[in-house]
This record gives sequence, C-alpha cells and structure tokens, in this order.
Amino acid sequence: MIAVVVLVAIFLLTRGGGVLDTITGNEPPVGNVNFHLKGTEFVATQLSGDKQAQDDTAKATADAVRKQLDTLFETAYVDPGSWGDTGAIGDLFTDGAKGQLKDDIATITLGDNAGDTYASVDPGKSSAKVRTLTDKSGNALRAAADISFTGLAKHKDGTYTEITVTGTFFFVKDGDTWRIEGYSLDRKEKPAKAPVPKGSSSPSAVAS
Amino acid sequence: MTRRFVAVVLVLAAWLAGTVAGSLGNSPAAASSPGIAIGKAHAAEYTPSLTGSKPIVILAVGSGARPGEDPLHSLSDSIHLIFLNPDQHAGTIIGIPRDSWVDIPGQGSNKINSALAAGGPDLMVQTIEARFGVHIDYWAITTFWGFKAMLDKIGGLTVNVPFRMYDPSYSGADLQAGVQRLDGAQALSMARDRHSLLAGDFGRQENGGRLILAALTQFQKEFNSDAGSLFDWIGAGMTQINTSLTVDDVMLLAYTATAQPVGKLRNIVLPGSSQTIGGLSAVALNTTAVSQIFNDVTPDGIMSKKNVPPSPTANQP
Repeated sequence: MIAVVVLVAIFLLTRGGGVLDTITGNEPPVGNVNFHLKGTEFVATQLSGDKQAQDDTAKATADAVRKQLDTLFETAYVDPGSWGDTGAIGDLFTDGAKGQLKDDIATITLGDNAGDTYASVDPGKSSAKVRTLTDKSGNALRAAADISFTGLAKHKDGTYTEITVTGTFFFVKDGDTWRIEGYSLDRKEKPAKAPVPKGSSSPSAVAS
Repeated sequence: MTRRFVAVVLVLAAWLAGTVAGSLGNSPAAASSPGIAIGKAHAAEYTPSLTGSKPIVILAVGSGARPGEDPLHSLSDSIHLIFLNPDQHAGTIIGIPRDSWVDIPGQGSNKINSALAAGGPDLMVQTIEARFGVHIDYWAITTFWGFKAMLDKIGGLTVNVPFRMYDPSYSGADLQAGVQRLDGAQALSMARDRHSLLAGDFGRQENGGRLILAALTQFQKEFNSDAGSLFDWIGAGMTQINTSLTVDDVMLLAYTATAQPVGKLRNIVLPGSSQTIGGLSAVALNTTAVSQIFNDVTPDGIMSKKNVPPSPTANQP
C-alpha cells in the first residue's frame, strides 16, 4: 500500500506539473527565455574607423538587445498573464512600431485570446545573431537581430505544439534603451510530443 | 582609356528609390496607401516609412575623380535626379547628359559636369536647381573605385543587360545581352560604356538608370529573403559614398525602399543633340521637351506617359 502511494506521488510530481498544480492550486512557474548569442559583429558606415571600439560596441549592443529579446518573448509568449496583450510589450517598441502591433499580434505574441487555446508555453532553445551599425568612433547607430525562438506549447486539450518564430528585429537607441523600430517575422507551429517527465528519461531496469 | 567615366551612384540610389516625401522628419507610417497593393512577404512585417505626396529629390552623381583626386571637386560623369513620391509609391529617374550646356552660377556657360569641379556639390546643386527649376533635397556622390567596391561588397548585381556591349579600349565592357550577375568591375564597365552605344552618353545615362533599378530589385529580393541583409547594403554604400544624408535619413529611405514597386519608377534621359558650342563638343538640350518634363515631374515626382521621351537606346542592335 505504501509503495502504491509513493508511486502515485512520484507520478504526480514528475508528469509536468499539471495534476499537481490542479491539486495545489498553484500556477506553474513561468520559464525564462534566454536568447543565446550566436554571433555579434559590427557593420562599419565609415572607412578607417577604430575597429576595436566598434567591436566592443557591437558586443555591448548585442548584450543589450538580447535582454530586450528575452523580455519580449517572456512577456509575449511565455507569461500567461500577458498573452495577447500588446500593451505589455509596448515599451520595447518605438512609437511607430507600437502602432502596428495589433495587426501583427498573432506573430509578435502568442496571439489574441491565446488563453482560450493554450495552457502554457515552455521556452526552448532560442538564438540571435546581432549586427550593429557603427560610426568610425565606435558609436552604435542601429542594430539588427536575426532571431530564432522556440517554445513548447501545451494546449488546453492536452496536446502539444512546437512554436518557432524566426526573422529579424531592427533596433534603434532611445536614450539608454534599445527599442524595436522594425521587424520581419514568421511563425510556425507544428504538432509535438509531450515532454518526457523529468527524472524518468531513462528506461527502468528490468530484472531478468 | 578615357579620363572620364560614368560611375553611377548605384547602391545608395537604389536605397533612395523608396517612397519618400516632404521632409525626412515625417512620422513613420505603414508603407501602404489607398489604391496601392503592397503585399507582405512575411507574417509580420513593419518598417518605418516616409509619407507624404510631395516628392523628395536626390541628386546622384558619379564623380570622375581618379585615385588621389578629390571626388567632390572633379568632373562629374554620371548625373541622375531621383524623384520619389511616398504616397504614390512611384517616382522618376532622370539622367542628365554630362555634356549638357548650361549656365553655371558665377562661372558663365559650360558643360554641366564642370560644376562639380568648379564648386563642389553645392555648386552642382545650384546649377541644376537653376537650370531645371527643381529643389534638390539631398546629394550623394561616389567614385569609380567606390562604385566597384560597393558592388563587390554586396556580392555583385544581377542585371538584364539590354544589348551586347563591347568596348575593350575604354570602359572595358564585354557583356552579352541578357540577365546575368555582374561583379563590381563588370557593372562599372556597363555604367561607363558609351563607345559601343549608338546614342553615346545619352545611352550611358539610361544604362545608369537601369543599374539603379536592378539594384533596387536585388535589394528588395535580398531583404525579403533575409531582412538583416539591409545592414550589408547600408554598410557597403555608406563607406563608399559622400552624401548629405544622415544615417537616420539613409535608414528611413532604405526601409521605405523595401516596399517600393520597381515598376512604378520611370527611367528617362533628357533629350538633346550633340553640337559644338563655344568650341567644345557639348549637348544642346531640347528646351521644349525638357521644360515639359520638369513641369510634369516637379510637382509630384511622377512623369506622365505622354511626356516620356524616346529611349536613347531604342535602336541599339
């Protein structure tokens, strides 16, 4: 009897949290998006510039842009509290781009009324290659990030899909902040298998 | 090898061939307007764009400077005025024969290409504004070597060469007719060649416009395939071009150019005839036709079909 109880407890604790959350009433924790920088480079706009300064600028800019991307996708795709809310990500965009967000809500965010369909999104591997336009003194003029974001979405009917967003964001510096002034993005979604429960990825030993 | 050559301000001019209007400080807006269908290549796309019905005018000049000479104070060999109308997503590229006989403010009468040598970009702008009654918003000047470097940097240019071009002694052109990828040197030879053209410099100016349109076509294709390539074009251009445009201007123009239908840009050359004027071989512009052209284009940047002059290369075999 004890063994059965223990097995049930292990099952509930390791099957992804859904049943446990149902029992405890806790919301599942929101995963962190962590864009991996695949590359950074500067694109010079003037000949014979300070290459070291421009390279340093490109790295610093890439790091700042990466943080903005983390925030954007955490808010727009991962955090159920802000799904479909373009207002929650508005500060990441210039005024001009902000005005366009409603039209592109299905790509920039998980989607309007996403809560009707999705239960959660776990961020997967995401990467960005960031290029920075620089002047010869090493000042950053613009940045472009070629990105790939992936997330495993759990639907309310228990099925899973893998969401991929790819494309480019264009950033412009506004004071100390890099804001998105343009973008060209595609989103794909395909059926996926349920994630393997943590701690049970290896097959059980079978006595022979 | 002639001392003069045509170096078309190709890449930048293509960027500039977006829909631009009014002042460059206009608020960005979506690149669409009533009656114009511009499809998105991707699920979500937005870039800032210039707005307005007033055209912007850009003077694109190929300087004839040799290495070691000042490109901003040399004879100009390629001269194009680019009119762009943002709201209409249309415009006009006007090639000006380099030997056009004009009044140069403070210098008397001379060929138009001497204005750059005599007074730099400012005098070049003044000369054209005075002769044709247009207001030029920006100028951009490149060189023989800058042109070549730009095109090599972007990996060459796909061009529909309209006819066989063979000019080994001067421009070095040796191009078959048809669509092909040209490297920087080949594209430059196409831009420079006038000896193998029946229409001489008139045909060369038209080819300059063809190269500008080819660059815009390629720019858009690459942008739709990889939007980040926009920076490659800007880097390639800005390092090789002297211009009155700021980086912000160039970015806005480049963004705008991504949505500019190439087919709505007309490429013409001012008509005229070669004559001996003041003891020099020069071009006497067709005053009546030139007046009609500028009266038509200046208000909105768009040329009516009825005022389009014949193509100088229409009879080129």
